[in-house]
Amino acid sequence: MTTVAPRWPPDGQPATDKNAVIRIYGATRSYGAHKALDNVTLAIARNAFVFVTGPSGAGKTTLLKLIYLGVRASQGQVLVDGMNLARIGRRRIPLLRRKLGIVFQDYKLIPTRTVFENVALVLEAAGVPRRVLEQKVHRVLQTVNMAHRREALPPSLSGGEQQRVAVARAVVGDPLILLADEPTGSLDSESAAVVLELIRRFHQRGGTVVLATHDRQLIQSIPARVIRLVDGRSVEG
Amino acid sequence: MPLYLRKALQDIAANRFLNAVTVMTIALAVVITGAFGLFFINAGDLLDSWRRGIRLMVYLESDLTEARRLEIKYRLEQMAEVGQTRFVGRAQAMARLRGQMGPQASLLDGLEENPLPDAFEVDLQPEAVDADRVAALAGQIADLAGVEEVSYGRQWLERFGGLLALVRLAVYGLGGLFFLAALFFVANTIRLILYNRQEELTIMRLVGASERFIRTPFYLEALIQGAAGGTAGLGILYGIYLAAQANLSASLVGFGFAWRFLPWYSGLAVVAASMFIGWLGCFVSLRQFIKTA
Repeated sequence: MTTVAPRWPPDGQPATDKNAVIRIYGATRSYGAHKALDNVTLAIARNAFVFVTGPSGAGKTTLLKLIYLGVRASQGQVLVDGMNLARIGRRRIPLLRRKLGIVFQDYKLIPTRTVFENVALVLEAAGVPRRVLEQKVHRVLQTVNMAHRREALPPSLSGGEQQRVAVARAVVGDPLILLADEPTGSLDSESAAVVLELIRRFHQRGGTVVLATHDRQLIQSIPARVIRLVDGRSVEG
Repeated sequence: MPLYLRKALQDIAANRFLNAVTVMTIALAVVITGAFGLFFINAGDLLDSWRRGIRLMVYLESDLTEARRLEIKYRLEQMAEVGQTRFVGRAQAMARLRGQMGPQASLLDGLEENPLPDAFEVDLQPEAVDADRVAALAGQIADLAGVEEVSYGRQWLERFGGLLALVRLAVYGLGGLFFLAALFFVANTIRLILYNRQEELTIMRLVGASERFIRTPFYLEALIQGAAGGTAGLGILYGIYLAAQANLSASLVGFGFAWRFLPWYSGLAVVAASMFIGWLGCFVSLRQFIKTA
């Protein structure tokens, strides 16, 4: 018996981008009758900086979730660095997530762990030896200017500081792609600028960035591709 | 220190109260079950020691000739189960009785003649002492010409053996019951800890932690809880044992009986069982948690 390898793109559809690290084809995600994403097709090139924007409820968060498998597409396909997410079992989800760094609006730091431990978690989970881990965490905390607070617990930090730690955690494992969901949404403009700068540096070192935001100022501050979502449909703009 | 062990110890430190409750629960289960076990092995020892000391009293018909008496003694000593025999003459028996009655011995002064028979006191070989064989032997001796009656603590022996069988049943029953109770507590403690840390676990998954990475510290934690609970329980039990020994030994002086604690392999088995309870409790709640989370 011969097995046919899954083909991309499906017959009759043109490839959107040969160099894509993320490819989404006809992805729909429904919650009951409501379609949070409706037949979205897009490709994001390696080392691109892409904004995903649109009003609240347009599907920005859902789009990011499809990429990190926070949810699965109800229809359509999502490929990340060649992995077909529809075919990834529960056990292999960690392998996908180690290619990604994720930054959330609410930081999602573990409140009972120190700054150092929060960042180190990524490397521990990936099985990095202790000595290497300590060096890497120290270095990344220096780049986000948080090395002096390494023993602090997140609740004792300001929002801007917490988000810097969250960015440090997102990039410490040298991921391919940084996903950021309203990373500056809870920050004052000064802190927001610092966090955005850290994300830009990740991009400059060769990383791919997908940043969801509804903040126009933020979008205008960097020349980048913008994907607009309206009612779950994508409109490049 | 290995990563998982460090994480487990961190978790225990962070959830001190819940962990202490679990450890105490396991310890309590060990103490209660262990106390019955301890009673069981010591009562068994005591029964054995009494059995070893068991004697048959072979009462003789009155007016036996010396030759007849010697023949009975000879026949007794030929029997395989019999150790030593001693002749207790009626006068000697009366003297013993007076000794045992103490101040009430004056009651015996009113007797016109000594009503006690001559007797042989028969020690048994230790291996011969079980209720059935003793009964058979007693029957055999009673059939000898010149023997009036054979007495020994038969009913008492059988009753005590029955009681011991009951205690053994109680040990198994209670052991099972407390096993389930401890399991229930461990499972629920771990479930509480899991709910407490649901957000943390979500974050760990988001940064690429595998299920094994997330679960292993919980299993280690449960094993440590089990070992600590089992050891603490044994410690408390040993304390109780020492106290009880000090109080009870005085009343058992003269039986040549030595109390003993659970043998080392039973102690190990208790700790192993406690660790198993911890592991199983963890397994059950993690399974349920993964289903519901």
